[in-house]
Amino acid sequence: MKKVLSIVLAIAMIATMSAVAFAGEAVINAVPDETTEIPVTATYAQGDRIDTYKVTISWEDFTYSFGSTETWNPTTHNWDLTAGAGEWTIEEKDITITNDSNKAVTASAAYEGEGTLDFGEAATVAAWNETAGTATLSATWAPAEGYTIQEATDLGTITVTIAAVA
Amino acid sequence: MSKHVNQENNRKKKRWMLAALILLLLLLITSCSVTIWSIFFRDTTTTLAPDYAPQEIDPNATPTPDSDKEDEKLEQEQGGGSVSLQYTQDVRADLSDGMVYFSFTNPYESNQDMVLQVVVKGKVIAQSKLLPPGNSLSKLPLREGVNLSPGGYEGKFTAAYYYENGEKAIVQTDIPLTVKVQE
Repeated sequence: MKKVLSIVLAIAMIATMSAVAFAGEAVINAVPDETTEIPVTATYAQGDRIDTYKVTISWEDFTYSFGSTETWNPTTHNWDLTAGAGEWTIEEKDITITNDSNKAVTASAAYEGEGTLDFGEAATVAAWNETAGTATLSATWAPAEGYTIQEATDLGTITVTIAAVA
Repeated sequence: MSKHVNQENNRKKKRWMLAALILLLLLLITSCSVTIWSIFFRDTTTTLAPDYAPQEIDPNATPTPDSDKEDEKLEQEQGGGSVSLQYTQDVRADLSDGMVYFSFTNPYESNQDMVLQVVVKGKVIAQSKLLPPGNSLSKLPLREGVNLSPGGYEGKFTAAYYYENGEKAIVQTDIPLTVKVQE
């Protein structure tokens, strides 16, 4: 009798071992009756924007030619400029400003040197908007009365000022 | 007779002494004036951009990523010039390390080299060596003798341009901005 009971008890214990395994699987496979979806999203917050300026400046050849008639002076052994026989060849010259910046700028030009070169009022050069903004500053050099040269001479400097528009 | 001669000699001595005294006084006034001028009024920082391009590329220059695009240069008329300048308006001078910080680029498409100056109240506080096309600058050392207090100052960039032969172009550019000085 004892042997039979022992065998039955052993079989019962072996049977419960598999129940434990099944119990684990039952927990993993359990599906709740109600589900909640929690969205996970990211948002973009606009930070500071840094204005960057890119300006192109192109200028023509600001060379003015002075042609003269000279007569050899056998006393001084030098060439004398014949009075009233020289003349300047002067044409209007341009400076072009192109603006690829995200903001407009103003462009002006000022000349320091011999004679005068008047570029007029400052020009507003628009910001990039499908294409670059452009402006041209033009001037015609005027020598001082009676001013002549007898060799290549640097006349002066043109300063182009590019200012941000407030 | 001898008494008269003695008196005459004495007068001559007095005249010489007076002349020497006046001369010494003039020398003293002159040397004091020069000393005062050199200490308080001598301008040691105003500098014109050089007439010819510096031989050395600025050690702070860094190549831009597209600096090797030689085939996309700007068009220019013979004898003229064409440059691009790229920059921001943020310029800070840091007194603790003696540097000026900013962002300035001579883009690759420019045809001329540049020399950049940072100017405050008409005085050059920093000046670069040569900046060829395709190079950027983000800092320059403050020049010796520059005395600034913390705060904001009206200033400007001045860019001078140089041809391949080193000659300075007739055109230069000023860009007004505010220079912030901090300790």
